[in-house]
Amino acid sequence: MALWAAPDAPAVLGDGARREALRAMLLAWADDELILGHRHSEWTGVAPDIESDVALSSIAQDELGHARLLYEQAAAEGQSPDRLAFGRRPEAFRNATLVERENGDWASTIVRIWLYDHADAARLAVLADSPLGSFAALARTLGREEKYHRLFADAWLERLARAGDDSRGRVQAALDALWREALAVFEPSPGEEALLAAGALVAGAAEQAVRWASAVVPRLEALGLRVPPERDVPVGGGRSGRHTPALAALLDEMTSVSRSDPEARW
Amino acid sequence: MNLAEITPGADHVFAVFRQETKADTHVHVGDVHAPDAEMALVLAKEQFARRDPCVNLWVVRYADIAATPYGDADMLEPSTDKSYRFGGSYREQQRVYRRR
Amino acid sequence: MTVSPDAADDPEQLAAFEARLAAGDRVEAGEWMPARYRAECLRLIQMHANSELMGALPEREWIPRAPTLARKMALVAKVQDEIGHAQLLYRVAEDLGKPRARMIEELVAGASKFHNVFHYPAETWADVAIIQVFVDGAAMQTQGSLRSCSYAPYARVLKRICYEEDFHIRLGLDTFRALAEGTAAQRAMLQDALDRWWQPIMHFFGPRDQASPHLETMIRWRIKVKTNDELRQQFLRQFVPVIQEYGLRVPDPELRWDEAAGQYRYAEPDWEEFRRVTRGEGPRTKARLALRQHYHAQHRWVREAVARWHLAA
Repeated sequence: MALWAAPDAPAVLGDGARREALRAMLLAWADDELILGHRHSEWTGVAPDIESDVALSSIAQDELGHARLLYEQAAAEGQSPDRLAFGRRPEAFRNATLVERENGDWASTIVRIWLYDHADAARLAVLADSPLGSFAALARTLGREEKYHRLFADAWLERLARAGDDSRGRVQAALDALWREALAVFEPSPGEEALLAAGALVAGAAEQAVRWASAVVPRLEALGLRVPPERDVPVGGGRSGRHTPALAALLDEMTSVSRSDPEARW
Repeated sequence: MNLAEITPGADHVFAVFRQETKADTHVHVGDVHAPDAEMALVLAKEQFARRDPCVNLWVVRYADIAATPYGDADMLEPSTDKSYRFGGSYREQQRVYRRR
Repeated sequence: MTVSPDAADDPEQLAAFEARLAAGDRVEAGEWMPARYRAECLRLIQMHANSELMGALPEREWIPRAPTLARKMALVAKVQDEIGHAQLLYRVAEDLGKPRARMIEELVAGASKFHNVFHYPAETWADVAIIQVFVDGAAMQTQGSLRSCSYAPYARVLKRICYEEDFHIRLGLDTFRALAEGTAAQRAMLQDALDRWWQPIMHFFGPRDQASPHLETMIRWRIKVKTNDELRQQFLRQFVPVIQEYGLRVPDPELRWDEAAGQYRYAEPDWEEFRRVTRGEGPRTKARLALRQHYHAQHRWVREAVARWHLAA
């Protein structure tokens, strides 16, 4: 059942504008999970060691599963998760540009997982406090799997950051390249003010970003890493549909079989 | 003997023990290669508990595992009558319980 | 502990070993075993592990292109299982005396073997269905029979591997059916994939049975449990009906059930092609090894970092 059809929804959400705002937020979140899950799945079979390969594959499956759950919630009448995932052009996607970048090397991959999954934790913590009961329950469900993602990312980041100059240098370079796009995970979805005003959301994206930064910066510094200058200026646009060429290339590949016959069942 | 005598690089091979529910003991389900115990736990979860129920995991470095040699299997099996350890060789209980 | 497979075994120990095996006993990693027994088990299990790592490559090409979310997640899970099988198998092989890192280096360098089927391209989405049903189905025959092999650690991991392989075949049949009962284009794609994969699948179990002292020893030592032809017949009995069930054409027009002989007759596969492929001259051998070499080289700094870390830990 869609969240806005839940029994407590009218009391919390009220009108159509707020329901649209909720749908937009869920769609953006679903897009984040789909695109990142797709990027993680590209490591299947070629990660640095066999055990990490298996672990990252599970994380990929989790993110794809989260995307499906969130698309189910965001879907309008007659839309299915598959149609949302496979049937839209790049400019209709609302993921943060952080997740659409190509994988790069293992340092880049670990840093992205680390930044994103800690951001996701900040987002989930706020949503788990929503007075909209079904929304809060969804956030708590997703949060349980995300805990493992952070464990994996924390373990790898620590070891790479502290294993010597070469690996720390690569981690630092990845951090320099990705920090500002990570900040843009917290670009608000359109209509967020309405959700805040309705009390459906207890803290907005800006507040979530502050909580995220205050959690991650000390941890990075404790590992001997430097947060880049201009640390407060996000580089993004994803939430408004402005994407890099990487997303178009990704979607072109991702939809190549489904597009070969959109009416076929697979 | 020590299992490091069999397993190359036993310092970074970890035996994984999975506890399915709190009614169960931890059971050896396989091993992972890992740089240290903390990472071994993280990696063990997906290699050995992604399909099976699990409430707890242990990991133990192979270099720390002492084992009996298989050549001693004959010693591990009793060769003289030990029926005195088994209830079935005492018949009084059957007789008395039948009386009730 | 590397002993030449040709080293002379102590005759008393060898006799005791063979007597134990004949009585149904099994062998563990720490026990005495003939040098040749050790070498054959290592070769077999290492090749199996290699095949899981290389077997992941054809299907992983289709992960980015899986046509629905459900198919995408299932395909990631399936390929993950293959990597997981490699993990289990290298672990068994290394206790026979060769570190995992060395086995992986040998594979990446093109110096060690893997099953013929994984030298071939996966050209379309339908190839994924064919691989999951027929290649995994073929592997199941061998793996199932080896569950009663004498090398206990291998027999034990094969239990889990067979369980997961069963899931793969079921997943494969689901995908296969969707294509077989789909549009004309989907059916044609499926038939074409089956046509292209038939010969490699017939090759999978190896050349026709030929009596040899080597084969006799492998069977007496229970390193081999069923012969190549027995396994191939077992496979055909299970999977030819699947092709017929969905109204597809068996790619070999000569294939027929011989009631009197109680077996399938088929056109003799081209064994020269099999020899070429297993020598490392298959259609995708070079490209797949190059992919593994690329990532192996790319990840060298990670291996060095991890080594440095656990020296300090």
